[in-house]
Amino acid sequence: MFDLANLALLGPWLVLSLGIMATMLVSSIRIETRLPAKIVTIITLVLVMITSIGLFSEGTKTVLNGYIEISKLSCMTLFFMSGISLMFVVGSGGYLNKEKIHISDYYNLLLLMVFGASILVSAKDLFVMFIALEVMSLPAYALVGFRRNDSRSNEAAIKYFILGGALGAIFLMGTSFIFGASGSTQLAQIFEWSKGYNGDLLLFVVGHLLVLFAFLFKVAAAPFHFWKPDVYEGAPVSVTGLMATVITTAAFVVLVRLFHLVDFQSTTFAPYLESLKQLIRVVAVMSLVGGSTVLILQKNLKRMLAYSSINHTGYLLLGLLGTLSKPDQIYSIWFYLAGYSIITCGLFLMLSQSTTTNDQGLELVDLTGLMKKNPYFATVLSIFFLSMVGMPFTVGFFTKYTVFMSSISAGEVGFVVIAAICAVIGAYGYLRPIALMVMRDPDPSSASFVGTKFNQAMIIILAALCIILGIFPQALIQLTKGLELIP
Amino acid sequence: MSILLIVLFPLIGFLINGIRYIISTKKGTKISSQQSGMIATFAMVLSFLVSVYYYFQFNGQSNEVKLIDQNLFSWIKIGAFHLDFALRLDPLSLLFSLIITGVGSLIHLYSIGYMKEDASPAKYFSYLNLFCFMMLNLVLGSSMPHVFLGWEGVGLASYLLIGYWNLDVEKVMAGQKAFVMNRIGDLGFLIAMFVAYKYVGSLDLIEIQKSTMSPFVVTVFTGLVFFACTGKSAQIPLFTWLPDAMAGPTPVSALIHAATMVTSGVYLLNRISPLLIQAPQVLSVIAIVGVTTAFIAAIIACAQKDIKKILAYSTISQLGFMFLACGVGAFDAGVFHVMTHAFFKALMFLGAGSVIHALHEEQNIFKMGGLSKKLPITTITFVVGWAAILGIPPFSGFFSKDEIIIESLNSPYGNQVLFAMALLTALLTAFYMTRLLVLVFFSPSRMDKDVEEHVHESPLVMTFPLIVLAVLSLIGGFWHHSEGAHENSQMIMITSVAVAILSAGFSFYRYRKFDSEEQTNNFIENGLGINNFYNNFFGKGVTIVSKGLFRWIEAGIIQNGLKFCTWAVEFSGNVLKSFQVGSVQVYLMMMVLLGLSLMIWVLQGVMHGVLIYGK
Repeated sequence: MFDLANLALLGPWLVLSLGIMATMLVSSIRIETRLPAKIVTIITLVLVMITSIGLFSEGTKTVLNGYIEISKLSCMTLFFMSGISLMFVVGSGGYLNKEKIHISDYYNLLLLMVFGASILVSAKDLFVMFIALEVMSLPAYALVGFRRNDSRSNEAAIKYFILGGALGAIFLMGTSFIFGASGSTQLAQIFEWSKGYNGDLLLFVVGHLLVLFAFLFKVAAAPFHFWKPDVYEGAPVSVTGLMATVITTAAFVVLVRLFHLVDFQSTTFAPYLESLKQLIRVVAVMSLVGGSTVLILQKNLKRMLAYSSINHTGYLLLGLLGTLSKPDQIYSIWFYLAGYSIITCGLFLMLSQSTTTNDQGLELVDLTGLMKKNPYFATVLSIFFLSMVGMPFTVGFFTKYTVFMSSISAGEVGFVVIAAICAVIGAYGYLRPIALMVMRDPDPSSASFVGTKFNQAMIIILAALCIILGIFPQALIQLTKGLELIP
Repeated sequence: MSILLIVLFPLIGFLINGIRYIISTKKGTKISSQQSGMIATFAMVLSFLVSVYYYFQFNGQSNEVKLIDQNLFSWIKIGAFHLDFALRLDPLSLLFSLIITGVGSLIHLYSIGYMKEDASPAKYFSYLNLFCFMMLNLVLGSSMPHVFLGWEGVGLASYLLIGYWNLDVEKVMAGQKAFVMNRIGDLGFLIAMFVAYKYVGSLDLIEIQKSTMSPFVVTVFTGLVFFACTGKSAQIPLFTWLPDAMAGPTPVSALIHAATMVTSGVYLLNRISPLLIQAPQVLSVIAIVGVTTAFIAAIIACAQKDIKKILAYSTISQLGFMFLACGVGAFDAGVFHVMTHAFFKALMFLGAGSVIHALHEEQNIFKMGGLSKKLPITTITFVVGWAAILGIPPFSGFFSKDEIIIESLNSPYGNQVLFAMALLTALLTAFYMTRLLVLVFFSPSRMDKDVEEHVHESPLVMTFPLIVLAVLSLIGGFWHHSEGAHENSQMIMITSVAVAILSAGFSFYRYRKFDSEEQTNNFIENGLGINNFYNNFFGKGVTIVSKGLFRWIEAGIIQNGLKFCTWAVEFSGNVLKSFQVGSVQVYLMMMVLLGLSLMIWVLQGVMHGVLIYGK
């Protein structure tokens, strides 16, 4: 079981563990010394990216008694998540200094969170998933409360912790139900079981729904979204960004896995598929309508982006709806997650450039007249907002396009119409900051934005990606088409 | 040698003068009329020489050879539909090219003298070259979109040149009027193109000619094209823009609004003549519209006091003759008249320009008189033009005009009414042209003293084109060989000449000693009230309709609908927002309750499904 070849297959996770231990060591020597921790984190993340790319050609394998899957999907997600984390690590040093929370522990917790997420996306067992979920969430709770002098931050951490804990318990309960019904917690075995199963569905369905609810909570689909605006607003900007990208990506990958938990080809589960589709439709429409209509009423940029992410969850669920009928459309979800993460990462790195401390100055009015005051900042910010709208020649256009096509190919035209209307409503919300930036004169009291060199470099890379992928999306689409979901 | 050169030289001239103009305005320097005018004229002469080269190429060849296609590039590619950007030279387009470049060269040359005092001659000449470039595209284009490109291009150039003195609001308005009236006609052209695309599948003019469409489609197509022609060629109902277009510089009136652009309608009708023959109803409409326009414009011309307005109405009237020719199936006669008319009408416009120039922008013929002694060359050349338009043998107008009058009776599509109207128009033409000639050149002087002292003959650069055009007006008629005449044609010829001479004699007798202003009928002078009718009926009608639409549809339905939508979105947003109370207990409660209800709903669905699927 435990030979050297298997050890090599665990490369990314081993690297991450070593990195976590190293940062812990560094922070135990002197907590204020952050540079060594930062360097260690950067090296770790780069190594994770390299090793996960190395595993990409390995094909599909399971290790550790089938608990962990090494597949193109998990490797690519891991590569992508560590890449985004790297961007945040490199780009948010200035912000952390400004908020006076730049300590080694930040990097330690960050790596721990990535570690949890990395196990989560490759877990093939419900229990492993639960542990990974907690490993990912616990550092996230701490990171949300990292601005410990601000009551909003503390409040957000507590809220997130309580609700996350409750939903973790619900997940565990669902797992026990599924175990009771199928006799296993391993995904592959549950899938096998479902093929031949011929009995009562009640126990399994209850368990499955509980498990799904827990992850719908993590991706903040309505009606499990209540935590998100409050947490987004309270958390430090860089942490909010990490949550919106890394945690959302990991949670959604797992959500897709959980939706495909059983073989819907079998006659026993065919009626369940129809009900499940109904469920997704309701949740997607609630997320779309709720996200977009409340989005346009927000005055705080972070809250606005929270509702925006709820709205985007709705689009992702729309893509998921398509994949339940047309499994080959699953690439639309991966493509959407990648594009959305790039845009969001850029936006949050942008917001972290605000010169005001204590996360003030992130109200919508603070952008007034920015085009005259700081044309560079306003232009790049506009690119990201336009990507959010889904403007052609930005990556946002193709992300929306692929999920819409996925749903249409599954015959869900009515829901695509609803989604398109919500996209119009959302567009108002994203265009309003642009209008404020471009069409008003600057207000002397509004915040100004100064970025560090590293921060600006990361942002330029991301903005360029937004536009390049908006014009030549084919490479990324081809890549995501290779990412199959293995039951 | 290539056909491309014909259109290329004016384009180059346009670019050179245009760029020079832009640079000079930036620098604040002025380019002289000689300099820019020579460039523009040289471009036109080169283009003319190329056309002449092709004239000799075609001369003596059989008809099959007289067609040169030159494909420039692939223009439009949509699915199976494919269109090339190609030039095509055949005898018809060659004749028009010769007129455009030949008469065009002379008018460019004349403009050097005429625009000497102008503030921005480079701009003027670049516009003039642009016009010629577009006009050549119109006649050399091989497909309908290509013709349309030229069609719109000359409209643009015409607009720019009518409103050339753009500090005068009235002139700008005249340019706008011309543009709008032409746009109404363009609608016909566009729809005709759509019809051709749908029923022929090709937009190439030869393909369209050869196609077999149902009689109804042919009628619709030709009718639409004819409607387009009424705009460009100033026929009823779209003729009111041409008199106003006289606001432009006089050489412009000569080139665009007499010799070339306004005849493009005749060109287009000739292009689709094989189809027109298949649509006799359209032909008779064309004939009736043509002769009516000719007649009405001649009546209005009799009451005009402005020298250019008289010539403008005369142009409309002559264009009516050309349409009459097309309408009775005598397409050759129509084109022949285009050529002779280009000579003598350009000549008279330029002569009028010479007079206006000499009298310092005086255009009222009742403030002229006795100019024959002071402007000898202008007078002699003008008399030649006068003789040509009257149709006195052997002047060019005699051949073309009489052919049309003969055809209006003898052709299978002709009849007595058309003939009578045409003859009556010829009578009126003789009357008003003689009136013009006598009042300007021969009657006692009615000029102001200080104006009279400064009257002088125009410089050679202006009189030379007059002389050349006079010679052409004299001999231009011999280029056309009329085929076997009817037995009654001699009779008709003698009648029409006699009518013209009698009418001219009466006019001469009436105006020879005029020394005060004539009291003309206001109603006729104002164009029979047609302008007012258009303004009141269409102008105000559209305003009333759009006001109503704005009030009820835009403000009433659309805006209120939008307001409702925004209100609904905001309302639902506020309702949903109100759930965001900030309390963890409430959140958890709602999540559990909503989650539970979702679960019950799904379970119910599963149970129901199991029943249906029979497990």
